Amino acid sequence: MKTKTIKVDYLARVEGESGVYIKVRGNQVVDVKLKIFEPPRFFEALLRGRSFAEAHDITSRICGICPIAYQMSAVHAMEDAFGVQVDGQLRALRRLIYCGEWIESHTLHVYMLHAPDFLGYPDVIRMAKDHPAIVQRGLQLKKAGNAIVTLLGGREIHPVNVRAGGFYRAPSRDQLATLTEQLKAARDAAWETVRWTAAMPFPGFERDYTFVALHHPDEYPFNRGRLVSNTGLDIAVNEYEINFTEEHVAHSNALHSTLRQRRAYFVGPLARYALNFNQLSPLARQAAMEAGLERVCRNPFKSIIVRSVEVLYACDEALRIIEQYEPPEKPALDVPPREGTGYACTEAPRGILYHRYRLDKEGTIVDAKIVPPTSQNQKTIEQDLGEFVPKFLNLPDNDLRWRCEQAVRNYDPCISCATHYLRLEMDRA
Amino acid sequence: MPRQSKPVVIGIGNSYRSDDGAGLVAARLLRPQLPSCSVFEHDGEGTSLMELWTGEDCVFVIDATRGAAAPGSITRFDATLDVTSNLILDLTSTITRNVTGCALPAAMFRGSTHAFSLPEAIELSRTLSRLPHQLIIYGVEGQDFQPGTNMSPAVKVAVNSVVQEVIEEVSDNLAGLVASPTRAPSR
Repeated sequence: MKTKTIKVDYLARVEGESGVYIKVRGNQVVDVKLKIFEPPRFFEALLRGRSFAEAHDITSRICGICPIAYQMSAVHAMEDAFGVQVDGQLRALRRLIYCGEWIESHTLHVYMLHAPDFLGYPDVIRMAKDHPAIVQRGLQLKKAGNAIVTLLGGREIHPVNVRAGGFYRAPSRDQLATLTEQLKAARDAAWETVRWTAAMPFPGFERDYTFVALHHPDEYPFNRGRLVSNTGLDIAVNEYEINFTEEHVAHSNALHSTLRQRRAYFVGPLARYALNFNQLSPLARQAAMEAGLERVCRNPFKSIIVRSVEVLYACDEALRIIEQYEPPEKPALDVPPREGTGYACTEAPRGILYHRYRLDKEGTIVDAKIVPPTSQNQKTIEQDLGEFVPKFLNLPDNDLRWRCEQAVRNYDPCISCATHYLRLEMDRA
Repeated sequence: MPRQSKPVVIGIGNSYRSDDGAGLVAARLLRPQLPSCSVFEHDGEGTSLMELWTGEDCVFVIDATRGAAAPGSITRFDATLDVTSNLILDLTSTITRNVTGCALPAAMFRGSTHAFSLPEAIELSRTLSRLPHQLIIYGVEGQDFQPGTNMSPAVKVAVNSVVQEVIEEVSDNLAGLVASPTRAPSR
């Protein structure tokens, strides 16, 4: 037999384009360039000429981890364009499916990607050798989120049950009740997760961020509210493009989103938490307090605790919705198309996801704009690296790369459109 | 270990990433030809892959690879062989096969879009003793992973070859299932 022997180490090396470029002169970081996200231009082009009823399905393929977020922003934008408002139990079901996605996405990040950073493991596989029960707990917790998405979405991968106006099929009370025991166990596991993450060692690193999130007076935000910030922004979603700009940056084909005066801003769990603490359930607030979190947390490394609090909230909220559920008369409202423009922003696990569609009178998409959360966080991540890296410049490149990855991972960056994760290019002189 | 259940087939990919859709196309071609098997189309997220294969007897996964060889090249990994430090590949047939056990070369399977994807799911399953009795991975080397919905010609040919290979392996497996005197009732 003709054979070839290859060192596994060699094969495991990740090839690819740069993810992070850091330029150092003396002991100063003079430039940081990050490329982790490719804007969804292909999808915006693909949407032109398609029916409004297809948008949520097409855009949900952008991200395999948060398809519900894409579906929700798309259907809300269509309803906005056609003057339809979904309320009552249908809206509650939308919150419920969003709870499922938050549980899945946050748990994946907390346990499989982020925790190894704090516990000193290169990855979750090595962590599982020492802590198998903890990793199993994470897998079980994530499964509870999958169960919600599968039941309401019709299937786990690329859910098919969501539509403009509501759902193709609404569940019965009995069907939803099958989730209750699993979610109660998940809520306990989520509380354990908050305690577990709160005890991790965190670097003392805080910045004075501009947080941006949806805000609703009566509920922790998923899919309704105004866009607010801790620096005075308070706008309707359809004013997004007046206040935020996407700009091309020379070092990559990525787009950077900025707030007025080209300011960086921060979206995602830390922002939601800072701007909506009072809207958390009493249980989630209690867990946050016990975990030692302030009402505003400015340490991005502690996002792992805030994500865990949000998982606890999502389990709690899901149980509340299931308890109060009465099947709606119809699974969906009528959505007669008309000419116009529709806007929506919903809270994807990673932060606000903006969709805007212009439609003709038949409901055909004339043009589309999509701004995902990760592209909004890019400038903030670069600024974090600029402040964080100088503390570790004496480390060898490999150790420094790990530190950089850790700082980037705080944002749970969506790498669905980037095929290589974080190759560090150090330019030292 | 007694043979208990029928094989499961999982095609992984993203239809909007050109050749990355190879695994999904293979799954769609295999579904009507393997009516007795569960055939899934999957986006490659690792923990839900683990849920699909935990407790199964025999699982086939088809995914796109990149950087392994010429476009359309096929690699077959038996993920359940014992892991050794070196990977030895059999290059004598048109399909490259691993002779020794190994961790799935993560770099090859980075066509998938998740930070925790197929290679990590296999190794975490190994650590937590959640691997199926047999887990076979077919990799189809892609050429173009840019946004788009068309597959390269060489990849289309390779997908058809993989489909035939999987059908043969599944038939062998099912034959073993029938022949096995220790067979437990199907779940």
